[in-house]
Amino acid sequence: MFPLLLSLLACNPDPYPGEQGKILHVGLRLLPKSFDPPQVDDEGSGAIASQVYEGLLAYHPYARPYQLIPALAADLPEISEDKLTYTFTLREDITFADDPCFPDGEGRAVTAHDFLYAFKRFSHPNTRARGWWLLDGKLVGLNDWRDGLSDQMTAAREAGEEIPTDALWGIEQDVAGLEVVDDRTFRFNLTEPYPQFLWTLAMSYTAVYPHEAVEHYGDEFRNNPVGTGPFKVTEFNPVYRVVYEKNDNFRDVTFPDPERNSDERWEGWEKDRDAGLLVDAGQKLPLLDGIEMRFILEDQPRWLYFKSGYLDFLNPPKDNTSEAVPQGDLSGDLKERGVRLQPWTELGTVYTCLNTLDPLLSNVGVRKAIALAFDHAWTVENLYAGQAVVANTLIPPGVAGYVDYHPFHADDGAAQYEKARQVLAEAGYPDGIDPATGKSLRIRFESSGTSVTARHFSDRFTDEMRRIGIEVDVIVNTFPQMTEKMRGGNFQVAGLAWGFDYPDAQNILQLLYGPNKAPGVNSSNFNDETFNTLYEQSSTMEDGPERTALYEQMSQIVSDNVPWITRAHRIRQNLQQPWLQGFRYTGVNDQYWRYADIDLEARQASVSQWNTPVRAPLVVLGLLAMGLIGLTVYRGREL
Amino acid sequence: MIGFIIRRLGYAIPVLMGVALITLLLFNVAGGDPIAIKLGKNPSQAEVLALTAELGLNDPVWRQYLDFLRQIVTLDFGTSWTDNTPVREIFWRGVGPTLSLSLPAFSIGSLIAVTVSLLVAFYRGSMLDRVTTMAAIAGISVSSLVYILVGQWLLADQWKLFPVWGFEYGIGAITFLALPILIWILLSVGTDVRYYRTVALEEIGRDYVRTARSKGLSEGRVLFVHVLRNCAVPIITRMTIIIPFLITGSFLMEIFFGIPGLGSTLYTAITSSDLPIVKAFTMLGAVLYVLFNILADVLYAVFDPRIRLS
Repeated sequence: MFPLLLSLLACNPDPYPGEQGKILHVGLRLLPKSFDPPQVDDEGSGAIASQVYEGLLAYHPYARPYQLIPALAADLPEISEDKLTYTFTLREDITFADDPCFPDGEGRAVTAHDFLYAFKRFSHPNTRARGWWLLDGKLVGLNDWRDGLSDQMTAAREAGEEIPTDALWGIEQDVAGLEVVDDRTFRFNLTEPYPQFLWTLAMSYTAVYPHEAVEHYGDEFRNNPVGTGPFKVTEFNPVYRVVYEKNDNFRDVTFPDPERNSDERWEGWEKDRDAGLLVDAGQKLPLLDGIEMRFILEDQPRWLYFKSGYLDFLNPPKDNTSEAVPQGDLSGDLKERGVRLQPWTELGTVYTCLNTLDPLLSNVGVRKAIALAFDHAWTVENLYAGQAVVANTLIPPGVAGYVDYHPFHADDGAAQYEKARQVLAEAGYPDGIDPATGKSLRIRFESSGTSVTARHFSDRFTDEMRRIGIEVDVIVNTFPQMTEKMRGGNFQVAGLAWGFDYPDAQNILQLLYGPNKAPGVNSSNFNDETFNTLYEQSSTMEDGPERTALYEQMSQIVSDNVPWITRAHRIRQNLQQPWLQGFRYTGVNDQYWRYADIDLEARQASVSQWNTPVRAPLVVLGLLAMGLIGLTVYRGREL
Repeated sequence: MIGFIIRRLGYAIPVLMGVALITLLLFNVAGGDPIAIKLGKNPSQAEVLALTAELGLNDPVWRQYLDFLRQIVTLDFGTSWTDNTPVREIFWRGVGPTLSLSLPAFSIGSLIAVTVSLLVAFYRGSMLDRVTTMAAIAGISVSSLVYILVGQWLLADQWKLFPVWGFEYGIGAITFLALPILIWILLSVGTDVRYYRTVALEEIGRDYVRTARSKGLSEGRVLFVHVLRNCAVPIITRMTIIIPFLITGSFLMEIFFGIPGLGSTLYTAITSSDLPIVKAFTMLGAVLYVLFNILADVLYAVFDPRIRLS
């Protein structure tokens, strides 16, 4: 025992021994699935792919509300008057990162042909792009091309032919909606005005990559990214970590300098300057030498790592949020360490989905009663430990279309249950009794996952329903099981959440558009004629007061008809170490690390101060064990 | 003996076919939707139909069963639904980290358990025996999750003796594996000591021990040569049965300490309904369990000439 204990004393708590340079340490709470842009639709994949890949546009790193800026495009596009043609001119200085996929290993210049290839591959049926719905029916000739290939593939499969997963039949065929004007000019021809189109060009799905990489790596392209971004991958283990180094071919881009360049200003830049976000203004990006992201799925190690200084940035786990950010402000301990807070209200909504095709829930009175019994304030305080705001409607505050209209949110203690019971009685179920059977109403609540939050919510919902006479059966599902039920319309009530793909309310309103009903994204199967008409009307309108008014009307229709009980908009209380500076958490994508900088000396000093080993207890324990053994042997069997 | 092995292997086939059937039926009922996993949140109907046909999801159960048996025989379980990586590649990626944790923990733990058991059996009734027995019972009574959480918090976070989490390939792994190995040993040594102590006590009371002592042999020789040899059968049997679990890995240890092994892979596959991985690993566990049980029986006969296999 003693030698074992001694050997343990030699261990080093530093998880990055021998590391050199400004390497950012980040802990992801989810595993990524793929680097391959068309497959990037989850938080983990988005976080890793955003460091390598870029598209024509990007989000402004500081401006809020969100604003698009050119990334690989030289400027914002030229848009035709009928809003059907978007012409982009590419920057002259974009080069892919060096990679063995190129004949001499050196990255080549990016041209408009690369965008053509990336968009066609994205739309190809064999790619099975997760974000295809963004372009579905939007570009001239694209659906015909895709459907034709899909038919060919089906026929081949039926004939017994095996189609490799990376086969891209017909990729060389022309598609009228995707046009290479010249090497530096690329044009999109739309079938109808699509106001959200520019947002899609800032998403990972539409990033550019070289055909050489896809051909060279085949299926393994998902693990071997080759892009134009500020970093390139040097090591990737999909269940453990990804390590990046600076991409030497990254174009000449500097940190925004609004003080010197008036054309780089944004609303509120002075506030950002005063908050110390712009200390690196004018410097060449990226500022870091590399990034190491570790996939730490469990909450405790992620939290302990941050506290030890081994992670530079953290969205604290729910169970630690009250310790880190009690009452919405940093704890004394963290303040003393100089930790800073970057709160971000998620662009998304947590809600309870009611299946309007269910025989019981097709009765709007029952839906209203359920909504009235729901306690929003309790949810925010207890379920999210205060780290959320009540979702009055499906559109979060700050997004055009938000309206403070919630006729069936009561939140007034016992009175709300009385009101709910009344509404339920008016709906034909006095005291929650079904007159046809004489028994209490019974509903199934589908919960996703076994997290504490999910279980806590299920218990509370059951209790709330019992107060109005409805019994609840809770069914716990994995996420895929849940999506299967949603797609099949095989559920009554379900706890769901939606994160916006882009900051436009259309993105969430589509979930209630009648024609999108199951197996589409409209899981509640809500089908209101007025809503549908307004949605169709707004779908081709540019952002502006008229469209916002339509969004508000649609939001009110949803509040009146209760296909959803909107619960909360979560707040992420992001924590950053004192030595990390210069970036703003974007939330909608993860390209902000290129603006981050690290004060290496400050980090080294703090980390070594916070991590001095304490060996005495183990030495004492070892000595005690040795003493006991020695004594026993010495005194022999008489002891 | 060869006849015995062949016969036992023959018996194993229907057992494994039964496991395969149960696995398939269970996951067909309780498993998730591959369409949602592979196609994302908003697939078109055409994509859904194409993938359903490709994965044979509409095939009758008997055909799916035959396909599963073919996969088992050819050891080709297809690709992960989550990220399309071949299951075989996932296995080989995870087996190294798993064994680098489980083998040292098992070897050191077993060595400590056997040594301590012999010592406390020899000094039966002493303070050392009482303290060890009490510690073993206390150790068994506490949940493994408590060991992990407290060990991580106390030894890594508070006393800063180990990294809280992580893994490195090569020699650097020692730093990261020290704490999980220590906790694994603490977790297993209590049960092992209780079991081996009982075995050793039985042997120490036998006549040949008294004879050896009366011949003037040293206590060390009596204990570690004569007694240990006669304890070998139950010790080896117990160890052999544990080996399959060393290969399939530990969910909790790997997840909490960030070891990218088979245990953490299986855990992630279960939570994301990645059935090709779950099915492959379930069958792997079953096959190993059956094989090592046969091996235990064979070793039983090898180490104890009184036992005949029939």
